[in-house]
This record gives sequence, C-alpha cells and structure tokens, in this order.
Amino acid sequence: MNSEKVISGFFIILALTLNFGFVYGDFDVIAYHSVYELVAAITVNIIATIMKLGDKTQTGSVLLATSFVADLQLLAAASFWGIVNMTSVMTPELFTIVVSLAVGALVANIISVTLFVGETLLLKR
Amino acid sequence: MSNESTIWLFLRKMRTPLIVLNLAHAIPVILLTAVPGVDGEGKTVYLSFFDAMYIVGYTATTIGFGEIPYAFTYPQRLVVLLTIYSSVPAWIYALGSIIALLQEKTFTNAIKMNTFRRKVRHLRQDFIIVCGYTDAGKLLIDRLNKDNLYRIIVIDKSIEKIEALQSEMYLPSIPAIVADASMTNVLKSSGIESPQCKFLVTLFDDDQLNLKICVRARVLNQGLRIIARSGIKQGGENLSNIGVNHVIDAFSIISKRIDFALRSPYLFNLLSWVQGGNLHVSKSDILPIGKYIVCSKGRFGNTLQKTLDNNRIEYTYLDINKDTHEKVSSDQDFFIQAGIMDAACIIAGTNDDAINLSIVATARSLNPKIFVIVRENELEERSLFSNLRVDKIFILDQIAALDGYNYIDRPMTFKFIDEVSKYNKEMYVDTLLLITKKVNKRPALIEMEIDEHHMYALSRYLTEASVSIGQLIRNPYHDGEDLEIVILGLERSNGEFILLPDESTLLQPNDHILFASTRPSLDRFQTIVNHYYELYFVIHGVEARRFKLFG
Repeated sequence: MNSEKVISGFFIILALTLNFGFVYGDFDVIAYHSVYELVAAITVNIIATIMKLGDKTQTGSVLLATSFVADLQLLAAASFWGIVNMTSVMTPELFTIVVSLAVGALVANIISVTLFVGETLLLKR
Repeated sequence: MSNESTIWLFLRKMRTPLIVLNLAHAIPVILLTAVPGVDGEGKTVYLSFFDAMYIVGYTATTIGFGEIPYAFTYPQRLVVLLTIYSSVPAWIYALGSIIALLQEKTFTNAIKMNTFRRKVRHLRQDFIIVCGYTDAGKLLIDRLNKDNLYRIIVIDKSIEKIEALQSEMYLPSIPAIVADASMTNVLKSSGIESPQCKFLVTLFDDDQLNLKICVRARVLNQGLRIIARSGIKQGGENLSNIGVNHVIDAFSIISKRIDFALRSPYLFNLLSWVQGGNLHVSKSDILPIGKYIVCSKGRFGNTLQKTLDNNRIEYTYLDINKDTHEKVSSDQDFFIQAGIMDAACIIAGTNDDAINLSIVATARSLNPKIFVIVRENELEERSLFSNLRVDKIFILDQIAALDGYNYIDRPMTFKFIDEVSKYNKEMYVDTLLLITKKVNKRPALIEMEIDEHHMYALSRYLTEASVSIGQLIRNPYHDGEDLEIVILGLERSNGEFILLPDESTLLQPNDHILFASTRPSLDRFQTIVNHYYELYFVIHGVEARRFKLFG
C-alpha cells in the first residue's frame, strides 16, 4: 500500500463527491444547493490539485490539467454567486448559471477520478 | 539526478506547505460565516463568504487591516483569534518554503540549465561547443567571435570561469553553463546532436577529461569534428584513437617550431606567421649552433630531444623538478657542471613558471650571451617573462588556442606548412620574400571557398567559362596596379593541393584558396568575386553589356 496514493486518492474522490453533492437537485432551486458544500468542494479541489503537483508521469499531467479545469469552474461559480449577491438579487435564472458551472467542474472531476482509478488498476505492483 | 526532475522535486516539496495554507484559509472562512454577529441595531447578522475571505485574507498575510462591517461579537473574536494563530504560521511556512527552495543550489542550477537549453535551441547559426573556459579557451573564443562565422557555446565546471566569461560581454552573446562537460546530458543540452553543431573543442589540461568528453561526443554525433587539447600531464595518443579529428599538442608544435628554426629561420618564420606571428625574420629567429641545455622533464623534454637528435644538435639534458629546484637556484655549480659556460642555448621548459624564471635568471648571470628559450605555462606571468629579455617565449595556451583556431578557420595552413617544409632552403626564402614584397610584413591570412556564399559571382562564372588566378589578381583594373594578394595554396574539391599556384592556374568551382593579403586588397578582391559587372570588367577589360551577361 502506498500512503501517497491513499491520501491523493482520498482528496480526488472527496472533491468529486462534494462537487456532486453541491450540484445534486433542481438547477433553479437555491435551497437544494448549500453554499458550504461549494466552499468545501473548492477547498478540497485545491488540495487535490496540490496533491497532483510534481507528478511527472503522463497521467499525472492530465490529472493536473483536469484539476485545474475543475478549480477554474468552481471558482467561477463561487465568484459569480458572490458578485450577484453583492450587486443585485439572486434569481433562479441567475442561479442556474452557478450550478451549471459547478456541473462543468463535476465533469472534470469525473474524468480525474476515472483516470486515477484506471492508472491505479493498471499498476502491477 | 537530472536537472529536469529538480523542477518536479520543487513542486513535490511545495505540496505540504500549500495544503496547510489552503486549509488554514478555508477553515476560518467557513467558521466565520457560521458564527453569528450583531449589527448596530442588535440584529443577528452573518458574515458573507466574501466578508469572511476578506478578513482571513488580511489576517493571514499579517497585514491586519482591522476594517469590519460591525464590531465582532465574542464568538466571532474567538474565531478570528483562532484564524490568526493558525493562518499566520501557515502563511509564513509556505513563503519560507518557497524562499528556501529558490535559494537551493540544485534548483537554481536547474533553472539556469533550462535557460541555457532554450538559448541553445534558439541558435539559428552553425555553432561550436567549447569545453573549458581556460586561458587557451578564452584566446580561441576571442578570435572566433571576431570572425563571427560560428556562434559559440561554452561549458565549464567552474562558476568563477563562467562568470568571468559573462563579464566579457561578448557580441554575439555566448551561451555558457556551469556544468561537467563529460556528462552526456550536459553535452546534449549544449545541442551536440544538432546538425548545426560543427565543432567540439575541449581545452582542459586533463587528458582523461578530454578523452571522456570526446568519446561521448563521438557517440552522440558522428559528423561532428572534434578538436581536443592534449593535456600537459599525460600524452595525447589515446585521443586520436577514438576519432578525434585534430589533437592540439602544444609540445609537438613547439618542437616543430624549434625543428624548423634549426633548419632555417625563414621556415620558422613562415610557420610562426601562420600560427599568428609576424612575417619578418628577426635576430632572435636564428637559433645558434652549438651546445644546447634542455631543462625539462617528461613529455616536453622527450619531444625536444627527438627534435635535437634529428638535427644532430649536441645537448645536455637536465632533469629539473620541484625537488631539485632548491639545489638549482642556490647552486650555480649545477649549471656550470652541465657546461653552461660554453653552451649556446638553454631551453627552460619545466611545467613550473617560477622554476623557468629562475633557470633563465641563473643562466643569464652565468653566461650573458646565452640564447634563452622559455616555456610559459600561465598567461598571467606574461609581464614577468617579457621583462627578462628572453630570446624566445613559447606560451602554451596561446599556441594551443591558435592551433585550434587554424584548424577551424583555415585548415589549409597545415597542408601549406607541410608542403613548404618539404622544399629546399631557397624555397622558404623565396616564399617569404614573395609574400613580404607583394603584401607586407604582417599580412592577413585568409582561407576561402569558391562557392555561392563567399564568391558569388566567381562561382557562377566558373560554371560557364574558366578564369585564371592571374586574371583576378594581376592588374585587375588595368591601371597597372596588382592586388596585394599572394595565393599560397589551392585545394581542389578532390583533395589535390597545389602549393603556390602560378598565375596561369585555372580556378574551379569549390576550390579552397589560402592567401595572404592586406585588408584593402581583400576588400577589393571580395568586391570583384561577388559582383557580376565588376568581375566581367576585370576579366574582359570592358564593361559588360546588360543583356549579354555570361553568354
């Protein structure tokens, strides 16, 4: 067992589950989507990204790229939400944008986990 | 460890500090939004995520702004207190790690290596790799850089030397790297595999090192021409066995010069001219006949002995080294026993400049008329040696550098000297007088190929008609004045070498010509061979008609 794999696997999968947890539910109903879950998703996503730094394998670089995509999408969702709150009132239409950005991040996270699991399975040791 | 992986190592090492920093920000932000506050009217309010991030931002970076929407309640203050104690150390830890890594040698070296590699990759010219920024290397680079035919890349292990090189501010710039040139990946980074890499020159004093570099270079690039200096300590035999194209052996060059000087001062003069000296026989070029004293051990001594034997010169061999030196400098009897009083010449050729100086001084005090030849090992001692009024100084680094330069820039000089030395004594005198009369006492020596890059018009013209040397040089403008040019040699593309071709010799495309010339004449010559109308006028004596050019 490789402790580094356990830790990075933990964060990569946690990033996916938190991301999914935030996205789950009707797109335009604000009550279904907890802001805390979004913050947790961002935090864990960033940790997952950091865990992938310095991995010079081919899959390592793709993993890092997907992580960056997920970070970007989630940060965009959060900033959009924050800006709307500061300047006007959140409407279901505007909120859809927040959730759809997070869904984009979810896709990146799914790719990330798939790659991670695939790579781990391919290891012969 | 290769340098590439250092960058990855850097990222790896930054993982923990970055995660700590991330958590130290995230947790206080979440707590601050969860803890209730009170506004001015006593209503319960919660900080938004933005407010929370704002507060954590200035707290963690120890900026400590202190601007908040409403005064904090006690639970809020508790959280901020926690924030300060957790996030400030985390922030300092992360910053500290980055700074420590930036100061780490391997990391900075990796960055430098990457910059160097990029510079090499972007060279769009033919280039030469010079291993070792030694005294000889510096002289060679100075010369090559002035010609600007090739770009130069330098590898040296010593930081001081590379810094010295960078402070020279060469133009065009010379990419240089502090690295061990005997490592394959260093050579690869220097672009040795590139087809634009034409020469590799290794000028270290250590033969083993030169050997190592040459073996690797030969494996990495078959077409590369390799020039290696045969070190002072060991012999250079191995070097030529492993496919080194040219071995610079300063000892055999000096021996050859002494050999030539013994045969004829004119021959010596021709040789030292092509190796960078004046073309003028001075009194000190005439070696005395008589008994010689050779103060040198090891390789130089052996080479000298062979030369003296060949010329049937009587000599006494003194083995002087550090151990016997004490005795020598204090005890003049040692020299007297060796017969210095009736000797004609003394050669101070040890590998220690201090000993050489002391030999010269002692010899001069005993026998003021003795002819003194000195070997100078270190360039820095130059002024000391010139103060001694020695008759001949052989500076190893200078000789090595010029030899390397000749091989790169005008390889025909080697053939020229070989051919000339085969002739009889009158021929040397004639050749020398021919050059000095027609040109001057310090003519420039140039090798050029008749191709589209160097002689555009001539190379085109030669495909249609023939041109003799005389047509270009003798009275080209029909004003009764010849160009001050002497063609010393002509090398056909099939390798045939013609020494001192006469004026009726016909030129062929891709001939290499070696000639002595003055700068103004060289400029005129280049104008002629590069311009159709000029060339046509020179050959035919009339201006070319525009549309009947070249048939």
